Amino acid sequence: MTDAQVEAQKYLDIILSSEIRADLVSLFRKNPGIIDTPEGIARRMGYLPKVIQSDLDEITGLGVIGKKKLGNREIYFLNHDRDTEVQQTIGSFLQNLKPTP
Amino acid sequence: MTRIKSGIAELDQMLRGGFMEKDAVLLAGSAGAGKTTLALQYIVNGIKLFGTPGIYVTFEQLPDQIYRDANSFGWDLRKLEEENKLRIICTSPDLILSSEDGQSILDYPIKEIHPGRIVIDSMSHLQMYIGEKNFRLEVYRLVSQLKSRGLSSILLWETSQLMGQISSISDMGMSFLVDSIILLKPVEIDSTIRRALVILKMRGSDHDKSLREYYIDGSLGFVVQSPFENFEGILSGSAHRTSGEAFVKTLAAIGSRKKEK
Repeated sequence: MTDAQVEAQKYLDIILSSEIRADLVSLFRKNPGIIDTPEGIARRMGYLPKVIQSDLDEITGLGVIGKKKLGNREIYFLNHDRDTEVQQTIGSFLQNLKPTP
Repeated sequence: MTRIKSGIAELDQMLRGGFMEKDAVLLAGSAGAGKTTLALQYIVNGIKLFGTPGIYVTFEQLPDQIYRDANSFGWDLRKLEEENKLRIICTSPDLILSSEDGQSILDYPIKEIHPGRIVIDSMSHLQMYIGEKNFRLEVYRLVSQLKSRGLSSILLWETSQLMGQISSISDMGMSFLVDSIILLKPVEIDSTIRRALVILKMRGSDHDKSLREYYIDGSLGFVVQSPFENFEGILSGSAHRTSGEAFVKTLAAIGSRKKEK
């Protein structure tokens, strides 16, 4: 596998390893204007904050979701450039997949 | 004096040319009255007709739903965002107030697109977060912040009463803090629900004081019509024909019964 394919596989493993992570990415992509605290994000997804926190941290670690401080609160937002990069990497990977004989 | 037009011709006539620049306008109405549609149209018209970028802040409705609803009127909001003419910000109400170090969630979008208009949807949600005790103070702070940034704002407020007489727009003193108030109200006339718009207040300017009927058109958006005629008591929840009109109607009914005989 090429480096790009390895990277794409890593992204897919992270994003698809839990329903909450996939839902988080989907939520921010469909609603790129969301800028909110973990409590606000969890509420929009129908969860309690502690349920989504670790998955939110993983997706933030991937760079798709950005994090910054506003006063003493941490807020999360879609990192457009990084999200586009990840989508393109995954897209290329999937396009080049050949069916196994 | 610069006027900020809504782009809805009849409404701008009622406002004697438009809202006053940098004014805070309270747009009040019950659920389903059309507040979001009017507010979105204010932003979209600002961009398309007057070249003024805008920000739409939503606390409850997701942007995805707003995109979908706007599409039904032919407004492509995603495209306007791509063109850096619009930002739809979806956040928690308390984040809209600036933090202790002076930072605001609006800092970045304002720097990005240099808006002249903003909608806050809605102040009712903000009240739920802040609580009654601090609400008036925080709204004053928010309104001052928006004005200092040169933004002409529409603040949505959900009135609790769907029908009948409204004794006050809000219990929290919002009416005193804003420069203009527009009320949207469903009214019952002749066993049919119709919609009434009235400008209750406009600081520093004359305005149309009549009750106008409005409707929401699938392709035009918010449409303001002519004033209600021959009815009184509309806002009280007991609309009835004026005595002159009732007399004419009775005469006409007697006349048609005589003809039938």
